[in-house]
Amino acid sequence: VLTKSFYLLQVFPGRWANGPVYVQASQASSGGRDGVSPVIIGSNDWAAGWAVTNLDGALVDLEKDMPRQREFSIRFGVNIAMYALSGNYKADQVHAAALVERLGEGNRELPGEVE
Amino acid sequence: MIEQLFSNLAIDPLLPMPWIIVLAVLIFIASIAAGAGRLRSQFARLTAGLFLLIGVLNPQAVEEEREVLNDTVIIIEDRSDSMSFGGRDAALTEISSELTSKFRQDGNLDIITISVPQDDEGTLLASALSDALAGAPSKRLAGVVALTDGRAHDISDAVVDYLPDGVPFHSLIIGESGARDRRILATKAPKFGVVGEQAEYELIVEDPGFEGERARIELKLNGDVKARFPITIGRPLSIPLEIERRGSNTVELTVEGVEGELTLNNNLFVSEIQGVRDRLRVLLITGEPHNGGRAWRNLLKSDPALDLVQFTILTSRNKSTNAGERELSLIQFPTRQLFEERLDEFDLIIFDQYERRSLSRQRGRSRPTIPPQYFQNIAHYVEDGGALLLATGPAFATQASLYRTPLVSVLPTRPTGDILTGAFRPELNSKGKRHPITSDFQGNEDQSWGSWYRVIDNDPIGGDVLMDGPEGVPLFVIDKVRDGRVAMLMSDQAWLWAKGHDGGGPYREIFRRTAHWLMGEPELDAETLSATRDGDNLIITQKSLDDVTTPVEVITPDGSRQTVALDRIADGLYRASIPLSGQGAYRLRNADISAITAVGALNPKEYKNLIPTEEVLAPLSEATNGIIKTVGLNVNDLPAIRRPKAGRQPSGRDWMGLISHDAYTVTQSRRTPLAPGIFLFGLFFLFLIWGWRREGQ
Repeated sequence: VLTKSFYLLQVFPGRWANGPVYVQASQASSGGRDGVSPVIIGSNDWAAGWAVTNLDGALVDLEKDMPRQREFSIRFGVNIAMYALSGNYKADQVHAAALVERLGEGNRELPGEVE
Repeated sequence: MIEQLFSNLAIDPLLPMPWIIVLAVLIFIASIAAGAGRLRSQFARLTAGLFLLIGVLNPQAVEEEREVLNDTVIIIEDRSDSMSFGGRDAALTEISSELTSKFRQDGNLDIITISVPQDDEGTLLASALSDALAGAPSKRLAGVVALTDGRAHDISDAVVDYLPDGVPFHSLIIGESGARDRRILATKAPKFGVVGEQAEYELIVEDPGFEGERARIELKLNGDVKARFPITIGRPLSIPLEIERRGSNTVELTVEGVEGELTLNNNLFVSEIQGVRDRLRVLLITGEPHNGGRAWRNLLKSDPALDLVQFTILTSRNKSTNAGERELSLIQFPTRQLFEERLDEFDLIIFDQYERRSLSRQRGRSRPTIPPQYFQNIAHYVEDGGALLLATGPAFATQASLYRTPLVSVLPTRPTGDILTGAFRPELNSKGKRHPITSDFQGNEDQSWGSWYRVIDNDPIGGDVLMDGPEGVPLFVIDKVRDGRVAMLMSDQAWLWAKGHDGGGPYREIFRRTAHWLMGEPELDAETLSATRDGDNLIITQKSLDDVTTPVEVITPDGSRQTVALDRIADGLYRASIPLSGQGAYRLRNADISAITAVGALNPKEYKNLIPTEEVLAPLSEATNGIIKTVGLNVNDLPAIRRPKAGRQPSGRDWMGLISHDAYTVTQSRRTPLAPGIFLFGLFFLFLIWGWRREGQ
């Protein structure tokens, strides 16, 4: 879901772009969380990518691991915020169009709504 | 003769029995030894020994004075409802007194008469039998006579063992075997069904002797005649029936009566079927990503009865996203599909923090995200029986409020434009304490609820306020609009409860119930009128948020009306009781709520089959060699009564036997020795001397 909660992303860059990202999955579906992971861990030093000064300039120079790294770093930050606020909503949206299409077809169980 | 001789003889040994046996052995050895030693005293020794033995055994003559004891006969009278048809009752009374007087004439019979108890399980003849047996002497039981129509419902193979061996169970079947009774039975009657779908009933009309003929059936659902059609007697017929509503639906099936029928009671089949919703579809529209969004989502997705379709307004076109459309994971909000084409498919629509926005400028005109005509559609949807939940946020108090859309026509409260902030604890008001959505939480629980910090000031114009915020500002308002229902939550901070802030609160439970109340869950209705059968009475119960002063109008199955005043039991709980008048559907109405209750046969088993039968009791009578005879209604057809001795055949083709046990008690007993001991011992010595002399020769 993190790849599509607002922006479409393939990597989750910060200061670096190639570190691994871990998402806790084991407890994700317990306690009525609807499969939303309680913690995301990565080694890309995202804070460095997001850090700005009062003058709206970047505070930290990023490693040149990928093009437009700062932009994607910020986009990833937005995606995390969206993930925190709307959970797995975007996972449903993959099927949303199909869902709406199928509404009229009687009592068949709706697809989607599952990860 | 010999039997009697021995029964009158007793012994009273002078020595302990083992000694006597030793003595007897010694005597035999002595006589055999004499024989072996070729002595001539063999016979003398043996005779002397026998006299000694007899003397020691000391035989006595017993004289008893006896008193003959009466045998006992049990008469079981079946006084169940099935006996009240076709003059069986009167015949039973007549036959019973006839039998009693015949038994009295015998002079040697004690009579125990017992009536068969009857409850919802039907005629409990075996239990009457075991009760009667408990009070009767089993050794002197002459027989059991059952006077019944044969319709007993608790006869099993084990009942034979209740009776002592050799005691006959005579069944005299009362009632005309040619009696006619038409009845309707449901071989398949579902208890649950999906609303709007067909439930399968399977019926059979029985009318012994008239199979193949046709009878007319009338089908009523919730008191309205749905269909009339013919059915072939004796052949099952499947009837699909569309379930009209959620909760209880009353189904009545009546088969027309025929002349000369025993009773019309079993021409009616009444059943209740619970209408359930298969999957409830909920449309959740989140106005913007916000803190409480996931709480709603988690709540609705964790309820297995719900299917959630969610749309979140993630951004508006006015905002720069600094990215191309292909880099954004955004889809078009399918408003036309949702609010025009598929609106009726949803069971509940939730607007969470929705704010009116314009989408994009097209040719200089701004277009709102959801155009007014779609809000109009939603308002109509609610009035036609839909459900709407508004979880408001600060935007509700502003120009961007949903109150400024055509939706206003169904909203029960209006914003004043003020937003109150500051910690407060949501409180249940008096209606909240009565309403099933929230009433469970009153008491200790609502005193420990966590704080919220913002409420949208509002001014209710209808509906019921269940929860109050600070300074009595309505916090949670519900309302019924025509056929639909609306609930409004006037704060955006309910999610604090879900998060456990400040102790939290029953977020999940309250809003889950709210959602189900909105979708018409009957158990959560605050205004209910119901009736249940209690024995021969109908108990009417009304629950209400307000005080009820008007009486309930009751329409009984035969169409007559009566008004019943209710007694106040507790706050919002009223009750009344009226005697039942027949089975079928009872329609209740008070002001604008009404209810239908089905009252089935008071004793379904008893009325199921009323034709007299030998079949049920035949195994019992045959196993005990009793007679089974249909005597109809005629007292002259009674079988003759005989008194065979125990062990003889206890019944014949036209007579029933009551075993004569010849039991007696001994009132006095006297013993006299058969021969004086001194005489026997004298004989013993005489033969001893004779033997001695023979040996000496």
